[in-house]
Amino acid sequence: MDFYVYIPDEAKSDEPDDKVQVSQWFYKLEDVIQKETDLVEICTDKAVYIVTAPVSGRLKEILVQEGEYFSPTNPMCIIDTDLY
Amino acid sequence: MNTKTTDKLQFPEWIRFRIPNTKELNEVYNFLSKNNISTVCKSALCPNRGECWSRRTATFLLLGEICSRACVFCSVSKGRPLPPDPLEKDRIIECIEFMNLRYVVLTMVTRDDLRDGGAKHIAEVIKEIKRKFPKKKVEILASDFQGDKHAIQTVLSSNPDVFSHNVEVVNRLCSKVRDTKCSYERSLNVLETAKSFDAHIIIKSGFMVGLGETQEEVLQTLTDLSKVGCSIVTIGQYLQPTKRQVPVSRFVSPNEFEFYAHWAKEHLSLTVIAGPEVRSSYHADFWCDNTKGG
Repeated sequence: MDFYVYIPDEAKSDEPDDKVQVSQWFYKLEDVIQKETDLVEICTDKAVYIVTAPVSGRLKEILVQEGEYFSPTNPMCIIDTDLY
Repeated sequence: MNTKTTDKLQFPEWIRFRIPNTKELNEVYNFLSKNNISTVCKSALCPNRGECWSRRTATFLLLGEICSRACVFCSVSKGRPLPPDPLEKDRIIECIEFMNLRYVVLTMVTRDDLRDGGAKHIAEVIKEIKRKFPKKKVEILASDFQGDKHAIQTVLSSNPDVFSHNVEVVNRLCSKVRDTKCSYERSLNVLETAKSFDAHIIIKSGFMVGLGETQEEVLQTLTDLSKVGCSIVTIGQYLQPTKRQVPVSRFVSPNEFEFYAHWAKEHLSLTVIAGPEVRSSYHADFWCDNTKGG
């Protein structure tokens, strides 16, 4: 099953024009990810956050590349959880 | 659609906050949202809230989410606050039970619109917590109550274990980043007044760095806080919550924070919790347990 990963509420500012930047992915495409391990580093206006994986699975698609800004309403990646 | 850029936002390597994905974090988040419980963690966009909520701790924000003052560093909503909610204490009690808190940290928005600044309401919440859970410790991070000694005494009459009030910044920057109704001198007086009413209570304060202060000004602030009876002081890096607040002037290094803590211990016998990630109530239970008031 495809699991879409969004920015956690704990890193959001609730500003309508908030833009967040992906600064680093800790996994590559097709890597097997363990839940609660470091998944991606994001940069907001306030600070840099390390987001941990909400589920275990295979990193199926990276939707925001390193250096890209994205809206917090959009997902950052898709994890295929069928492995588990 | 995402915007491609090679520009990276500039933060030093020590400004990193890890957001866990634990069952505890999700439980706390859901409980707070479902029960309409305000926390300063969320209102002030605290970057530690992922860590603290996963440890099942939070700082409750009393008297609503709208502050009657407009400090330019703070992301708490400003405007005309709503009347105090008499049922607020019941929600807080329920949350303390749910989170199984051993140590309760309460704070408040400044309520210049209320005759007593909200002191009676705060005291009632603390009294109710103490009545229901006599063994739990309570820390109140209070406003300045416009310097009203009676209001401070009202809060202290509810027997909190720690009375805290933040000077927020060094003296010179107060007029630049705090609301015009605030003053450094008044904040020191609030702390001194609280100590004079209860010699055994732990008095605590905190301030931010990275807003343009000098090292000498930081040391002077620590000296001032020690003189008025503070036992614990927190120093943390100011982080601009959103683009609408005042920008960061500089990022203070972990070594410099360490220097402030050592200096205060050596010269003032003062417990200073200092670090980039430190906020007013960061690990408050630990520091209260390891500090004496009188």
